[in-house]
Amino acid sequence: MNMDELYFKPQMRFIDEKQIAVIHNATLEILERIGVKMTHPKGLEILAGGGAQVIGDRVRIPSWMVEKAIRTAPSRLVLGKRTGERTVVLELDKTYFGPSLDCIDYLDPKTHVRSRFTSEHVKVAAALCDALPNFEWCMTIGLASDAPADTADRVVARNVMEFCEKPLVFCCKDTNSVKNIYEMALLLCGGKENFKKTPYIVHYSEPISPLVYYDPAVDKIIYCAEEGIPLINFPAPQACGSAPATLAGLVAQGSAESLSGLVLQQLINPGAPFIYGAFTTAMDMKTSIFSYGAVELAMSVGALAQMAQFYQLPFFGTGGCTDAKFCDAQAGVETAIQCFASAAIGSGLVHDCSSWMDHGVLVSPEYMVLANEIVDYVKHFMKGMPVTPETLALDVIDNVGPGGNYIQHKHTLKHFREIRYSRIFERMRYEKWQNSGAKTFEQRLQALTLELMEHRPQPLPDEIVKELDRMQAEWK
Amino acid sequence: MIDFSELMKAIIDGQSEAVTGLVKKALHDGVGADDILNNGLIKGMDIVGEKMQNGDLFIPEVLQSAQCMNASLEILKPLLSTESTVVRGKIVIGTVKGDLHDIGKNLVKMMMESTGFEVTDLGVDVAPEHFIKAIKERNANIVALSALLTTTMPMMKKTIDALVESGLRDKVKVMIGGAPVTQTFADEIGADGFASDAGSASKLAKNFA
Repeated sequence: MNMDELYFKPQMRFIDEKQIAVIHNATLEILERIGVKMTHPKGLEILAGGGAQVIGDRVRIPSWMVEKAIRTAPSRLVLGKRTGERTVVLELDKTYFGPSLDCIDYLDPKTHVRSRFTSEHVKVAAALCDALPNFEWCMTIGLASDAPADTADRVVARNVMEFCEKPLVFCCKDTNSVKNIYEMALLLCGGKENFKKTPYIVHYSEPISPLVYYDPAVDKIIYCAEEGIPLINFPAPQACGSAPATLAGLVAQGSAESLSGLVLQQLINPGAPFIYGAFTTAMDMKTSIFSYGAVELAMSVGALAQMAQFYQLPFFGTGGCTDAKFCDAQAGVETAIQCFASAAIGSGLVHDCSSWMDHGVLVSPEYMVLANEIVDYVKHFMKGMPVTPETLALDVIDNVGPGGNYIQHKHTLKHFREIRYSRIFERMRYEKWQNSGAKTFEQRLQALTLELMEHRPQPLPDEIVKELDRMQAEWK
Repeated sequence: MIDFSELMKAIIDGQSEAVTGLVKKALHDGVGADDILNNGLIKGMDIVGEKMQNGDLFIPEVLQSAQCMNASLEILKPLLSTESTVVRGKIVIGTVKGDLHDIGKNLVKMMMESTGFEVTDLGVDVAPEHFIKAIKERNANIVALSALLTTTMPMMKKTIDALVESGLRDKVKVMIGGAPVTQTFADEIGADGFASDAGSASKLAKNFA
């Protein structure tokens, strides 16, 4: 062991090994004793054929089937940009932050007017995600209220693909939409072989908590399994509403719901890429919203992240979101703690980061910039403290001597930029700040946001854009 | 004028035994069942509703109060003068066709029942014909439609259109709700009202009745 250079990645454990083992067994018990409700004929047939007990619309899955599926699923998944560059390596406790999807409203950074989210806003938000260095992947961010309901899911996917190069996690209403979006992805990344090697899109499908599958969700699991499209089976159980009010039960139920989809997928195509996870938080018992700022979100998702590491499955985490309607202290605190917990525990794809305000209703580009800053702060912390001869700097201390100063030393010149600086968290002396225009945090954030919103990725070649137009015209 | 303050406090606090005890005592003392219901229990539940709107009471506590109400109704029902004093209005509620999400709808149903409405819950994935059948059978005066998905919101309009076609539209008030639903959408499709949460829905129903 080289004792000269010591590196350590900070770690947080939210639950211990004994708790993990018991939650695993509780998860198996839920699927064996209670099972899931499913009406999809082919889904039922496949599960029954694989060894599940199917009585009417109730499917009970024995423990051995769940554990087998966990074993056959790949323990790592690498995603790439549409250019093929492999950028998101989902393995072990690695963490990658990304935005959200399906938000309804948009807060204009210039005017601070709140309006319905449109397909134009999708482009703007996607371009901003492309610009922000701390988000390694993207989602569709908002709903296009101006697009016809039937094709809106594909319109938003197309717009993101054009305005952001980063790998895309998407939702859509049915298999037909998955097909269309997959076709666009294949066009952009150059065909099936390229896609297989470095997937550029991931489909996110949801069972309904507690423990229900509606037919389109099963349809999509089957299609993604057959085509080898990476799949996230991601329920959203809410403590007090659709899951127990106590966190361990919430986590066990969410885990069971996610793994039930894994069982189906692996029966169809063993080794197909799967991302495990659940969006767990508290249903607020005063306002009835699903709370995105609650500390319970960080707690329960943290526990699930550890379950993912126990299972050696890639994980779809959640963090960096808020119930606040503005970039205020509430937004700062809720976002920071979630990002910190996610990074320190190790949470795979951390979604809903940055574009999920007002408990999932609002997108604000300024908030995206604030969240990017917070993630940067957290990532910096997560670098840990390398202990090496260079960083201990004993010769420098000797050189400077008692009473000396380090400001002019060449060691300082070499390393001072490793200390983090920020464009929006300011540190001026008070008089200087007053004389420089007395800019508030909100003003600095707005200015930086507007500047970053100028960015656009490399435009797609004309013939690709024409082909996307042709595809779009044929969507039903 | 009988002093129902102790009964009202017990209902607000969700004290089931205290509530039923006080109801029985009042009956024993010769207080009329209608009087106990309207001036004690329903007034108490109205305060519960207000407190919920103000954020002073949590939903599980409200439902606890509602259970006290139901327990008391079991005692009072045989003694009440007419059926109409029990029921504030008749509501048919469901999640529209194509949509299986129901937690919001279930919460609305519970809140409405707790304020004295008779609610027929048609469940999820409810076709317009089913709504119409239930409205006729139950003689309902309010219809409540829920949807979580933007792709199933158009079904709300189809359901209202079906009400128009069947000649029932003028006989009922239609309210809609669900995460992506807005007042603007409600106005566009000709609904009578929109509510963003269970407390507001219950209040709106009271206004309709």
